[in-house]
Amino acid sequence: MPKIIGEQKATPVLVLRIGSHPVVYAVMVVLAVGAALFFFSITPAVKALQAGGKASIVDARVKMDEAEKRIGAQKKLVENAALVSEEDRKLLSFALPTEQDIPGLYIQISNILRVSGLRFTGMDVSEAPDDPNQKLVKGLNISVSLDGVTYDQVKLLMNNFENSLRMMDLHEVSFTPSSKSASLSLRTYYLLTK
Amino acid sequence: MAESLNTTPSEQTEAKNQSRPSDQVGLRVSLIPEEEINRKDPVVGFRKFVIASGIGILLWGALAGGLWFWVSTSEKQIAAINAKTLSYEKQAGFLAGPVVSAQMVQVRLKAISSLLAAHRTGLAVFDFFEAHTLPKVAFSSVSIDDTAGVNLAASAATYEDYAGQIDELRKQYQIKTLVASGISPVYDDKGILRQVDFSLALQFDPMVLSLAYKQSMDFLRANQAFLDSYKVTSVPFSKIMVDGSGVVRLTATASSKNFTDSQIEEFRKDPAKFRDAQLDEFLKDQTKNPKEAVLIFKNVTASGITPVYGDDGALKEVNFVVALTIEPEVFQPGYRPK
Repeated sequence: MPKIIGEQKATPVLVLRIGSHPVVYAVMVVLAVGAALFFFSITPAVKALQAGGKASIVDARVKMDEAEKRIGAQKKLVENAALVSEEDRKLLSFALPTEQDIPGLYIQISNILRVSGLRFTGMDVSEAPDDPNQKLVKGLNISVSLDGVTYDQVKLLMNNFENSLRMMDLHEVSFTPSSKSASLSLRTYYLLTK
Repeated sequence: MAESLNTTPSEQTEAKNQSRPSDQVGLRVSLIPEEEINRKDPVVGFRKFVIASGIGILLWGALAGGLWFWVSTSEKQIAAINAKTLSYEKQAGFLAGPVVSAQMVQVRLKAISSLLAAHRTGLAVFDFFEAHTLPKVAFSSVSIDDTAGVNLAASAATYEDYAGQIDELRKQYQIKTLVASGISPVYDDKGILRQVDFSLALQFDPMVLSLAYKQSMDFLRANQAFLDSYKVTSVPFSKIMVDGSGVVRLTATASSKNFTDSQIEEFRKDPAKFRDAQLDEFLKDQTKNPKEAVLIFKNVTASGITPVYGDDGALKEVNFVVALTIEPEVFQPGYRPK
């Protein structure tokens, strides 16, 4: 088909310019659109996702997992503690109180001496030095001096201290049958709560 | 160039003519110079630009759409996760009171268990002296210190009784060191020896102050008849050891007497085999009721072989040590073998 040159319409200048270098202009347009998207869409979207400390789903999941683990451990702790009856908890509190309770201690020791058929000539309670092996408790040293005591009574007394509800360790014992005198050094404990 | 060298001029002209369609029909209509025809058409270029730009923009659009979808989904997921986290925190809030109480119980139990592990009692020392004091010896004072050191003032009826008491104490494995001092005879008016006063400084193994040791001694006393039924007559339990976990180890020294000739021959050939045979016999006796034996004794091992020969050179005794473990459950109150 022959071309009729004289009938060609005038091409717009823009088309001519762009048409002469289509690849360059196409790249420019694509980059421009990409930049616009980046500044007006992508960046705000990512910022929105990061807003309010929500850095990412991973962070949120980590927080959730931590909370789940924490609550799981707490539930288990409560379940385990529920196995200890209220009565047993009271006994435990008595065995290891949270404070020195020296008046209560005097009463208890007096009772132990009474059931052993003894009376003390002197008793002293003082705070024991810190024990590096016992971080949870603090010790109280108790010295008890007795007179008019027999060998069997000393043994009975030691046994009664042994079986006392408040925990007591016997540290030193001295007994002289001829003078019927004895002295005992004991240590009891209280729970450190801070 | 290589091609033109291999073809004739007429063939080259023919090939040139075939390359132009207008030439194929034999017409040459356009008056535009050939260079003009070969120039790129701006409209075609513009179309290319439109298509390329469109594809690029579509790709960006897809990317932005994907991103929007991802952001939207992520926000929903984060919201769901945060809601769950919040619910956990609320639950934790409700549990705060019981948790504090439970923590207190836990800490208290931990502290008590630690104190019990290190619990000290001097009662076993008194029991020890009751078992190992000779009839004609009396202790006039006793003091037990924190490190299981024991100081005693004592009186013996005679020097022989004094020596016998020292000998008796020296034989006990619980005593690590023994120092006797201040030996002074006491005479009556007639100059006859009335008594021998002396002092003793003993260092016990600190385990004797432990609760576990006392429990094991109490167990042995309470269950002596029971244990007797589980021992070979010639294998008395001579040593008690309590390890850190409260498991008791009894060590037995076996002295087998009146061996047969074949047994002596067996010992000469292979002492270890002989000992194992003795141990088997010991265990066979223990395992009359296998259920009980499994429950009571574990980790049974034999060690050491000490032959004792008579003056005539004949084998009289073979001593060896049997160590075994008594499971802690037997110390539980009310324990009865099944």
